[in-house]
Amino acid sequence: MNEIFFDPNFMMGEISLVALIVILTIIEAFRRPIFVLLNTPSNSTGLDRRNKQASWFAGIGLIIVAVIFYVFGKATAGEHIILLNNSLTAGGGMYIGKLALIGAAILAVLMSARYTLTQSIPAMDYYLLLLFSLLGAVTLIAAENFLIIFLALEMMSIPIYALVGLKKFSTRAGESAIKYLLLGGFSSGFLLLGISFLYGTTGSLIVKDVIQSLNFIVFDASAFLSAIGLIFVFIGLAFKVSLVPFHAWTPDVYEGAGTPITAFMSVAVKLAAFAVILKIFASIDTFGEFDSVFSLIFMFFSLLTVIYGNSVALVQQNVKRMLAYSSIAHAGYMGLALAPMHHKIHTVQAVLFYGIGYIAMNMLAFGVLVYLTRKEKYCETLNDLKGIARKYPGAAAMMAIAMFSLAGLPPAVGFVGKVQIFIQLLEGHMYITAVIALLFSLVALYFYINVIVVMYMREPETEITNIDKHSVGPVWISLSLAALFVLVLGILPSPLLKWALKWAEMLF
Amino acid sequence: MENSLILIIVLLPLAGALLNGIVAAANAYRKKEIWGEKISGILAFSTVALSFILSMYAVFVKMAGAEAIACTPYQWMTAGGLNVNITFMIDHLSAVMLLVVTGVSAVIHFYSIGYIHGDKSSVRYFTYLNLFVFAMLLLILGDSMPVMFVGWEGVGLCSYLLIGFWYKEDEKAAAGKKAFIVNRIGDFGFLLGMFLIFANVGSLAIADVNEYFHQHNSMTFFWTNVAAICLFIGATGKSAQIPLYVWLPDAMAGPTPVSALIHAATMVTAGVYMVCRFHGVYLAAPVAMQVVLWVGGLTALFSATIALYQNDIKKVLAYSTVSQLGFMFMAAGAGAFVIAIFHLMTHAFFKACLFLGSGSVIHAMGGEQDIRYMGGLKKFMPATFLTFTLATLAIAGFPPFAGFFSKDEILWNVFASGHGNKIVWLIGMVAALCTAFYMFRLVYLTFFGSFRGSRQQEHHLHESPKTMTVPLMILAALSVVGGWIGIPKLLSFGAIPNYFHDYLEPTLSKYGHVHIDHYSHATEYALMALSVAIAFAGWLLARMLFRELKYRLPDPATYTGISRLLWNKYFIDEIYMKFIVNPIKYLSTNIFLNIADKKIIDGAANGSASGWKWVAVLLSFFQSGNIQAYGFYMLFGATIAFIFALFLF
Amino acid sequence: MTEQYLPVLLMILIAALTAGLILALNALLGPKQKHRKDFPSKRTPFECGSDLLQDNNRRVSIRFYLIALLFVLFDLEAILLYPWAITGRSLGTIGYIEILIFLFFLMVAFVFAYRRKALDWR
Repeated sequence: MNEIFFDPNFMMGEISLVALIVILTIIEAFRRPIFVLLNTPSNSTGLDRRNKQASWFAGIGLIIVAVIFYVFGKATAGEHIILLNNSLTAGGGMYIGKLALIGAAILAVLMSARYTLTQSIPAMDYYLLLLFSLLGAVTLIAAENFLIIFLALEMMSIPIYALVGLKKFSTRAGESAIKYLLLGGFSSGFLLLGISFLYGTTGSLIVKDVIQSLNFIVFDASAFLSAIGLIFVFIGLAFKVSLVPFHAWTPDVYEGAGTPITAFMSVAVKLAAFAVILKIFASIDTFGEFDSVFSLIFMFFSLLTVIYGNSVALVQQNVKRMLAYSSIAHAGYMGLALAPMHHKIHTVQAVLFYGIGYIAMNMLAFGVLVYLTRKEKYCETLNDLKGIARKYPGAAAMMAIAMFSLAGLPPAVGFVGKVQIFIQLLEGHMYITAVIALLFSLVALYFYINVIVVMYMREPETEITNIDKHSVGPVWISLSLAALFVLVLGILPSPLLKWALKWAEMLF
Repeated sequence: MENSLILIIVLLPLAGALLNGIVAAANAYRKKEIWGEKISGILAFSTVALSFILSMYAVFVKMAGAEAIACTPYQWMTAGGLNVNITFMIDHLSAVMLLVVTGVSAVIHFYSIGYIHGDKSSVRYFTYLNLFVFAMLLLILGDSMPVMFVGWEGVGLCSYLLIGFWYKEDEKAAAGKKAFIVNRIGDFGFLLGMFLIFANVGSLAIADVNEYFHQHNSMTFFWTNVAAICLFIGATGKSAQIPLYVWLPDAMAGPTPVSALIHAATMVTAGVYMVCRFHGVYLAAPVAMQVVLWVGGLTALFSATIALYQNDIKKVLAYSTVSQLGFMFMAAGAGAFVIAIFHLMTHAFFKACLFLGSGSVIHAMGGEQDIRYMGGLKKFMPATFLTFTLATLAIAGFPPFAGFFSKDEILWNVFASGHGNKIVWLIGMVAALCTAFYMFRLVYLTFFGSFRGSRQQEHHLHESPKTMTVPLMILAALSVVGGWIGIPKLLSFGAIPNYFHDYLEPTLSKYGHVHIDHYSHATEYALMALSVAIAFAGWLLARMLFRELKYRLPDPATYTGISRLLWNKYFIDEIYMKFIVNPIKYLSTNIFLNIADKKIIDGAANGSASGWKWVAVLLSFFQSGNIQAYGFYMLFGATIAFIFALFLF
Repeated sequence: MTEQYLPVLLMILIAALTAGLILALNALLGPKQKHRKDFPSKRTPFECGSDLLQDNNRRVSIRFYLIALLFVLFDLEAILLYPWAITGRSLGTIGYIEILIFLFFLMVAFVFAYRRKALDWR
């Protein structure tokens, strides 16, 4: 690992993403102002045309960006460097994470093409915010400096606050946006306070230096303050990944936000925030105190999360809300892998793999809900899904795959991910924890399978109305891609595991 | 890749399933009349038949003389210190299973072509059936516990799909769900056992696990037994033993060939196979062996007594299957793993034959399954009658039919083995008596006497088509001669080698021998004669009562005392409902629903209009406080974290 | 371990005690109003002795927020130019190009805001 101030080869992907954002902004700026279109309700075709074009621009642009990320990422994978005065890491296996995030964004854009059309949302604003958030997430996983972490975290979150509330006249969306914003601000406060504590005790903002000095700290008041600082940082990040009891925003926001946004933020934010948690906490290696504290903290909060998320999801009638609680529970599983605190590269590998696999399966589940949207009615509750397999067998099959994967049944990727996590627990000799987590994954099976039962074995209460015909193609592409990833990664996980390992190596 | 033949054997049914799946999807898309039914049936049959032929080639030609052959297509995953290779291995144990499974599957696929003909979703049926064979092959050939577990879950899934195949009928869908959930409870035990073993052994390859427990077991006596019992809980789920047997009788809601293939011949024997596979573990865990022995014995008797009073032809066979599986576990528990597998094989033949025969009867009766309304079918369907009777003779244990050899050896081993037990032996004898009785009761009520059904049904009676009778004959022939490869030395005076025993013994005694108490030959002969006598007794009793039925069978509602208890299957379903299912439901609705998450009220907001006012009041109440409450939760969490930090510093 | 922070703790305690004491004494010894609603002026905010002109919890047009937000953003970004202006010579050509890129982004955002009529007061 060597330090370089700047080398464009390592930054080409991010630069192209910024360029895409700038180009799209300029395109949008020099077109007819959007509100002219919005104020002519009788004729929405103008808006529809604009939205379609915007989806094309954003989709193709993102695919080009993904290719650039891939090409340059692969070219620089042999090296691992630190850029811009210890601000960012680059090279190594990290590009797999960035590609996963971009993949999530591409899937979200494909779904949004339909969503923006059915809901008449100005699409370009929407995509720009999505891209900003993506840029934040991509920067976040590369951040090496606490300030950059904070900056990137905000760059990732603030556009999402706006995206959640983008449907201006929906009170539900407004409510979730303001909730998310306020609580997000609260958690950012925790994070900043923690960072300043750490700066105060160690005199550095660079993650590696901070961890280094913590590892050789003398146990006195400043060690205690460092622990407090780390706890604050943990809370700030736990909010983003929604560990109980920092989860409370999740169900409300997931339910209120547009479905593709929910999908994107449930996976991308989670993966990026977990990458940071791993960066900070997986390499703490002191003798005793810090370990036991954080082992206990991760064990306690993650277990609480698994128990709470899976139990409450059991009684949800709204599928989006159920998926919100399920996403809480999955964060718990990912957090559990850190509980043994035995500082192994494999812990990081397990969590990263789980995070990437979770992208595919959760995008798939939400994608089906997007597919089943009607203009006048969301498809959200279990009632709406009753007997849907009769009329839309393809969508039902996709949902079934997603549910199997989320439940952790083979041969889907969720199973491999769960095995990875449980192996970590067993190797850390946390048997009781493992058993409890396993019991609750048994509980989880009920509500996941219930969705399948409802889709296949229940008669619809009212006749199932036709879904909107708007842009069904892109949604199908995204669904098939996601399903493909779920199955392929479940049956052939070793390549991704290798890349996750390569990424994990960068943290040590 | 070495031995890629094995890979082809495994993948052929999968290919069939995929192709059929595409056809089924196309059919679902067209939503018109069914298309490609014939092709899909032939495709499904031919893939499995080809798989069977290749298995024969692999077992008899490629494996000749060798202990095992294996093939590793790829490394599945690495997790921590765990390396999971996808390895398929044929050793002598899996070879027997492989031949039985692919062979019986091929026959039943052939039978299915005739049986399912005309059903609207026959293509879907063949898709599931092929997928099942694939999963079963994974289970059998997988060289490590994860691969085995994948197959284990896969067969469970296919069983669920096939039981609920006619999902439009609530009862059948519910039966599917019940099977799945009960199986998952068992799977949980299997997983726990797997974790326990991995935590100590550090590897999940079957050979490593057995070797570890045989050679350098560093687990305490207690934990060794716990691990083995956990695995056995998995087996009780899959192989329908006490206390998890309740799903199997309900599983008869599926199409009859499915009952024959999955719920009699193959899938339900997976538990027995698994116990034999891990005989190294069980030999190191004597308490677990006792548990297996007792559970097997009690299940054998328990379900045999239930079968005495059932009137549904398939239910009788279902309880009989549970009972026979109990016999297999008795053998395994007594340490006679070879005999367990032997009985597994013979049982696969005669039970598949019985089920297919019952399918043929039900077919002819136009869907009627109640034996009270049958009778005298002998003259209408001679082929079915003949095959059914042969299989009955086999299951009742008449020499020289297949069941005699295996069942007799089981009882002998339970009697004489160091792990065995005289009480369990007695239980086994009583169960065998019951078996002979209820099977002949079934035969007499179905095929003898005069027809008791409606005029219309009588008019409709006919022998089944060739596609259905040919498989019956094949299986009947096998139930006659199937046992001859395992004739005990004692009986043939050493003239005929015990091929089966010689073939399997080296594989299944690799990790320790079981001590057999010494008894004189005379004792052995006497016991053998006793078991034959018991079979005759059962037959004579049934003949006496049911040969010429002069009276109407009483209505089950009028049963009292023991007969009422037996007819209601000891009220086990009701007990489970009351003491396990309902408390859980109560817990989840009253605690999780009302206390843990008041926010459910949010979810109900789009619900019924009548609840709206009430909801709105509550909503407005929560609305003002919500976000502060959320913030408070966070502070609460932070406090807990600080308390941890304070206490540990 | 935490002894060195003892003075801080003492300080907090003394401050809390003093403040609490004053408040408590006030409540105990001060004259009491039996009927608060008899003195409505007691409940209004104190504003240099004169009466309130209007309620200060009025709604403000959303446009103010928009302008204010844009002002803060551009203001903060413009502040970044000062450090560059001071060290501009030593940063050389690269620094110059970087600040041009920065200004370009600023410009794009400004054009976007302008075209969206965010600065229009209608």
